[in-house]
Amino acid sequence: MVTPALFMQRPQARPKIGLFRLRAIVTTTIAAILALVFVWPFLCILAATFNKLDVVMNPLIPIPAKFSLQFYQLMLGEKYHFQDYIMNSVVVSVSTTVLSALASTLSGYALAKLRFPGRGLLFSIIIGVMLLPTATMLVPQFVVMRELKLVNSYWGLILPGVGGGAFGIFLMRQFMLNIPTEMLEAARMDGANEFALFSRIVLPNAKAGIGVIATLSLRGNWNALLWPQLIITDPARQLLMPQIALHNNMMVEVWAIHVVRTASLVAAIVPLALYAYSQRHFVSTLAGAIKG
Amino acid sequence: MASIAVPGPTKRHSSVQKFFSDQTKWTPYLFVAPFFITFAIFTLYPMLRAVVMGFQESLGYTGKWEWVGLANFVEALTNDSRMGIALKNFVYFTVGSLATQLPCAFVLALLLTSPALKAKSLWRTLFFIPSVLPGVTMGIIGGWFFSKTHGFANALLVAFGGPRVDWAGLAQFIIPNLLVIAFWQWMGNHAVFLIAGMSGIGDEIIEAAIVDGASPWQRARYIILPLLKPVFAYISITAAAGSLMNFEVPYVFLGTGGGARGKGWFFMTHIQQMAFGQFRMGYATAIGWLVFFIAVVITILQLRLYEFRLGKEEA
Repeated sequence: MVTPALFMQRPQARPKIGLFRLRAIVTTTIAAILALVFVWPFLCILAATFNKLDVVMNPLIPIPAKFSLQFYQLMLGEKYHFQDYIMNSVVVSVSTTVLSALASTLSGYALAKLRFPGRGLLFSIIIGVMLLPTATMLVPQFVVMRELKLVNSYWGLILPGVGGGAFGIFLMRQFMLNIPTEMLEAARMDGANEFALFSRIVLPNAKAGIGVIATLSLRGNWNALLWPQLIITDPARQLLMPQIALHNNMMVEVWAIHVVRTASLVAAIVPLALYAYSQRHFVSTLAGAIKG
Repeated sequence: MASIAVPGPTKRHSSVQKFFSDQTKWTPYLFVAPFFITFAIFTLYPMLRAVVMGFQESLGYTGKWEWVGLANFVEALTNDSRMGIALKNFVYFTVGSLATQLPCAFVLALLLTSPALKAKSLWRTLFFIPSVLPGVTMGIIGGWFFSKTHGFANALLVAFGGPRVDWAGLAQFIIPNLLVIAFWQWMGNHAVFLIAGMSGIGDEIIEAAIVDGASPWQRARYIILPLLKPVFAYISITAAAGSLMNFEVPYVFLGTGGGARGKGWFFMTHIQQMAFGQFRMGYATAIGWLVFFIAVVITILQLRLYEFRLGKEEA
């Protein structure tokens, strides 16, 4: 729990109950008003997606002037069929996440707990390359994908996701360092082979870590715009985010903008759900990473 | 650390046989293989290509390359007006983001840790949520918010008797608009990080300050704020790195042409446009290296800045 560092009182000088209650009302009201101001525009655009086309709606009030599911129907209809792109995004981000979580867990374990020649070198290479930003890597990576004939293939999205997760390796290694070495040694003494060791001891103990990197990877791959936009050239195979951006840039009909807005809010459901699911993990892990 | 000697095979084997007969010798390589093979192909090899590509130019989309020496770097530094715009926008956006978000985040963090506050985690969640939204969604929401005809900002202005402003059409609004979007997206996130940092401050320090008669304001200013410096350093370094790689929100919000009068270029949108709009892949890679150089310089400067101040306090 968080220490209320600023407002802590001397034990002998506790405020009277009435005063404390008054302060509770005041601070809670301030927080509530600020939070409402903060989410208000979001509620307004959400309401706008439920409005009927051609019915003027006040953008300051989060209530549709005339309720309608028109834009959602259009979004999933014959012309826009965003459900296809949602499916494409699900397929790609789930496969990338599963494969990259598996690869990171195996490597993180080996780098943290197994001793073998070349371990230090491999780890320093990862750390070194981790520093290189997308800006530098984007074009050469695309050129390599073109030479490997992986353009317009989902493997062109999945494989770089598996081999680009240097941060995931780093994080998994940190988690694995917490597994007691004595436990592994004891299992080895009892005759467990290395694979049994990994599946029976390492995996169950690394669940929290796997959860965190899987969440980060799923969110990152779901939200990605630039890389899928470059790699996938066939519109029917394109993912959700690039399709939203594309429709946003070439709006032909009057209602297109509303469909784009609706799709962009629907696209936010996945990261929001992930956040809700892993909130405790997320905040405590990230806080742990920056402490000290 | 206890190390257990694994009993070796009794028979004499060749070194290869010996390696494969002892499971603990070869399994580590098997375990690291899935990551390192893909890593070598899709990260390491492109990185080596990047070193060469900065000095090359692609001949259209043919896959053929021409050696141009330092010409790409010279052009980017001396003869590319969009690079100047991108650098200016980067500085303006980064400084503007930190100057607007950090003070508000600190005050919000103090408010949200008040013991009198009810339903703490609800408020924390509501302020944190925008940072979870995809960049594309943020760009679209920004487009709606600053829409000339039916946007939130203009409706608010008109409600208070103001004029209808063409936010998207005027170059001077590009960065302020992006700053508003960034504030909405990141301020609560920073506040949550600061709250996490506050939980690391020992109770005894605050208690000592209370016993010494420090007011809440003095505690905030002279104890909590200085002790949060590592968190502020972390936030400002990641924020600067983030705005250096700023792509999705400007790309969606400003469109592919760099915004009003082409004044809205950022490094990433410029690289994307150069490489895939004009097929100048070598030139785009050279810009990528310049961006990497800027990232290194900024990180070193910021670390120096915060270490220097911390060092002075200790003295």
